[in-house]
Amino acid sequence: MNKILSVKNLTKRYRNGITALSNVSMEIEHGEFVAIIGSSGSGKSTLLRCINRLIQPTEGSVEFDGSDICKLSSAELKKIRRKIGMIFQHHNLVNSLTVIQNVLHGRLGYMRTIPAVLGLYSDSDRRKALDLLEQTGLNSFVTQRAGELSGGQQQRVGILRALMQNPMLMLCDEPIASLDPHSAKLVMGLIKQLTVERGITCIVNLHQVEAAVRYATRIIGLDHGNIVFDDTPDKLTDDIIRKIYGGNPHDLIIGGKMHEGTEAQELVS
Amino acid sequence: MTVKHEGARVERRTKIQINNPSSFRNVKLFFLGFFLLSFASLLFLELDLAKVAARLPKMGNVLSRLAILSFDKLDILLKATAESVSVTVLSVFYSIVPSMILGAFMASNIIGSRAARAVISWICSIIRAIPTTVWVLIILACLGFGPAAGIIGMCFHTLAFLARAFQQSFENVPEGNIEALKSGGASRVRIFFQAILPGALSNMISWCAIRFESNFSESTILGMVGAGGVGYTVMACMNGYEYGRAGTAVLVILLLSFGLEALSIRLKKNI
Amino acid sequence: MKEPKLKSLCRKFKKRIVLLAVIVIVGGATWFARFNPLAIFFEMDTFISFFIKDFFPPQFVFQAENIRALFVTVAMAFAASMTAFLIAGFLSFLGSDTTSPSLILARGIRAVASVFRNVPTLVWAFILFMSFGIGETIGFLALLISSLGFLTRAFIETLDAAAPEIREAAVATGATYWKRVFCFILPDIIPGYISWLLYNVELNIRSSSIVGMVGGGGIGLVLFSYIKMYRYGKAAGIIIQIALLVIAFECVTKNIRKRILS
Repeated sequence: MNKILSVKNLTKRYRNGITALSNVSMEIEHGEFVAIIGSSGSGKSTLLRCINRLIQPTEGSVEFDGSDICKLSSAELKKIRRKIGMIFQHHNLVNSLTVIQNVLHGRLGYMRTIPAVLGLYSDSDRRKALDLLEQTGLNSFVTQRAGELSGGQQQRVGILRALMQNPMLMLCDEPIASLDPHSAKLVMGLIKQLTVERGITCIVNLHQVEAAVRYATRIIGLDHGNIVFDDTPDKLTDDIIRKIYGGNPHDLIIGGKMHEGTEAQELVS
Repeated sequence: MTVKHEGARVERRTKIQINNPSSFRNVKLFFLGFFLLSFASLLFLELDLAKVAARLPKMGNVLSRLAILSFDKLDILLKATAESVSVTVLSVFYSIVPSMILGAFMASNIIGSRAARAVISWICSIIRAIPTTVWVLIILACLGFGPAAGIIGMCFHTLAFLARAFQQSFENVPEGNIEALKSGGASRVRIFFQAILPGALSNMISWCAIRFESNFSESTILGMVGAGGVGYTVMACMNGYEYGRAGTAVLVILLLSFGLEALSIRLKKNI
Repeated sequence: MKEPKLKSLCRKFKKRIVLLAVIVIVGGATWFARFNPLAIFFEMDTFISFFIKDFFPPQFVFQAENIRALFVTVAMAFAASMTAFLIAGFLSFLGSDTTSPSLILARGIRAVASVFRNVPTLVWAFILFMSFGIGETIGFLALLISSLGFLTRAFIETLDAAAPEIREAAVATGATYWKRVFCFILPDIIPGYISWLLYNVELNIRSSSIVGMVGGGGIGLVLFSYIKMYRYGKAAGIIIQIALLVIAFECVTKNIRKRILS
C-alpha cells in the first residue's frame, strides 16, 4: 500500500480561457499499470506533462518521492525528473545519432557536465545499455542511425532510454498511437514487463480502449479535464466508455485520433 | 604479469563503441578538411589586418557620414531605384516562359531520352555557372550601356536557374496525377498542362519569389559596373564625396531588400 | 447563402486584382527601362556577331598573376565561409528565441544579421574600399560580412525548427541546459548547419569571383581590367575559368552532400 504519486486538485487553465484540467486528484501506488483514456482534448497529455512539470499547473500539487513537484526549484526539479522516465508518441529520438547513443542519453541527468557534453559515458553505463538492447532483441542495431529504424523499434529504444534513468515512474504519452498492431503489441508488452519484472510504476495515455483493458491494472477516464472513472478494468462498462468518448464503444477500438493539440504548451526547464 | 597484461589488453579492445563508424568518420573528415583548407587560405591571403585595424576609425567616419542621410536630389535616387526595380521585374518576367519550356525538357517525367536531358542540363549548368554580373558585362560589351543590357544579361542567368528549379518542381509532382491522365490516353502536352503544371505551380511561384530577391540584389550591383540603377547612385555619390546621399541610397537598397524578403516569406507560407 | 457568394466574389476579384497588378508592374517597368523586347529580338544577330567577333577565340593567359588571382578567389571564399561559420554558429544560439538567455539580445542579433545580409556583398565591398583602399583584405571582409548575415539567419532558422519533440525528451530526462544543447540539439542540427555552410561556400565562390570589380582582390579584378582595356579575348578566357571554377565547386559540394547528409 505504498503511494508513489499523489496528485491533488490539479488544475490547468490557459491564457485563452481554456481549462484543460479541472480539480484532478489521484493516488498511484507502487507497481501499478495505470491507463488514462479519454477523447482528444480531454486533458490526457496535459495531465501527464503536469506530473513532471513539462507543463506548469495553475493550481494543485503533485507529490512524488517526498516532495511537491510544483514547488521545486529549477535544480531540484531536474534531479527529480531523473527518476521519472517519459516516452512519447513520436519517439523523440535524435535521428542522426546511433541507437546506443540515444539509449545512453538516459544517463545524462546523472553525469557531470563535461563528460556528458563530450559523450564520455562510463564503461558500466555502456555495458548496461548494450545489455538492455540485447534483452529487447535490438542488439543488431546498436550502431545504426536511430532514424533508420522502424516506428516500433524506435519506440522501444525510447523505452530503453527512459530505463537507463533507473526511474521509479514511467510516463507514456500515447506510445502506440503511430504504430502498426504488431509493433504496438511488442511495445505494450515491454511496458507491462517493466511493471511486473522491474516494479516500475507506469502511467500510460491511450486511445485504444481495448489495449487499456488488456494491459492495465487500473483505468482512469478523463472527460474535458475531469476524472469520470477511476477503477479496475473489469468495472469499465460500455456506458462509461460512451460517456467518455461520446460514441458507440465498438466503433472506437480501431486506432487513434490525432494527438491532442498542445499549442499552449509551456516547457519549464 | 602476462595474464594481467593480456587482461588489460582485452579490456581495451572490448571498449564499447557508441558512434556510427562510417558517418561519424565522414563528418569528422569533412570538418577537418574544411578547417585546414580555410586556415591555409587565411594564411595565403595577404591579409593586412593591421592596416584594417589602424584604419578602423576611418571606416567609422565613413559609416557615420553615410548615416547622416541627405534627401537632396531625391528625384535622381527615385529614378535610379525605379530603374533597378524595373530591371529586376523584367529579368524575372521574361525568363519565366522560356524557363518553363527548358525545365520541361529537362524533367524526367516529361522527356524520356536521358541523352537529350543531359545535354540541355549541361548547357544550363554552364550558363548558370557564369555569375550574373559577368553576363551583364558581356552584354554591355556587345550592346552598349543602359538598363536593357542589364535586363538581358540577368535573363541569361535567371533563365538557367529557373529552368533547373522548374525541372525539380515538375519532377516533384506526384506520380498519381500523371498516371491518371496517362491511362486515359492523353498526349504529353495535355499531361503537362493539366497535371504537371498545376501541381508544380505553387513551387514555381516560390522560386520566382526567391529570384526576385536575388535579382534585386544583383541589379544594385550592376549599377556599380555601369548598367545604371541604385548601385550607380551609391558609387557616384561616394566618389563625389556626397556621403549623405549615398547613405540614403544604401538605406533604400536595404529597405527594398527587406521588403522583398518579407514578401517571399509570405508567399512561401501562403502557398 | 450570402456568405459563400461574397467569398467566391472576393476570390474572383483576387485573381483579377493580381493579374491587373502584374500588368501594371510589368508595363511600368517596361516603360521605365525603355525595354522593347521585340527590338531586342531583331538586334539578336548584331549581338551574336559582336559576341563572336569580340570574345572568340578566348585567350588564356597563364601568367603567375592570373593563376595567383584564381587561388586568391578560392581562398577568400573559404576563409570567409569558415570564419563566418564559427561566428554564426555561436551567434545562432544567442539569436534563437528557443536557446537564447535574452529575448532582446536574440532580436538584436537577428536585426543586425538581416542588415548584413540584405546589403549586397559588392556594396559592402565598395564601402570597405572607400574606407581602406584596394586589396584582398576588403574582398575577404565583404564576403565575411555578407556570409555572417546569411549564415546567422539560416542557422537560427534551422535551430528554431529543431524538433521541439527532442527538446521535450531532453527536458524530461532531467538534463541541464548545456547537456541539452550538446547532446540533443546539436546532433540534430549539425546536418542542417553543414548544408547551409556548403551552400554558403558556393555563393561565396560566385561573389568572390566578382568582388574584384569594386576593389577586392581575385580574378574579378583581372576580368574587369581586361574588359576596360577592351581585351575581350583575354576576358573570355577568364570567364571560362570562372565558369569552370563554379562548376567544379558545385560538383564537389554535391558529392559532399551525398556522403554526409544521406
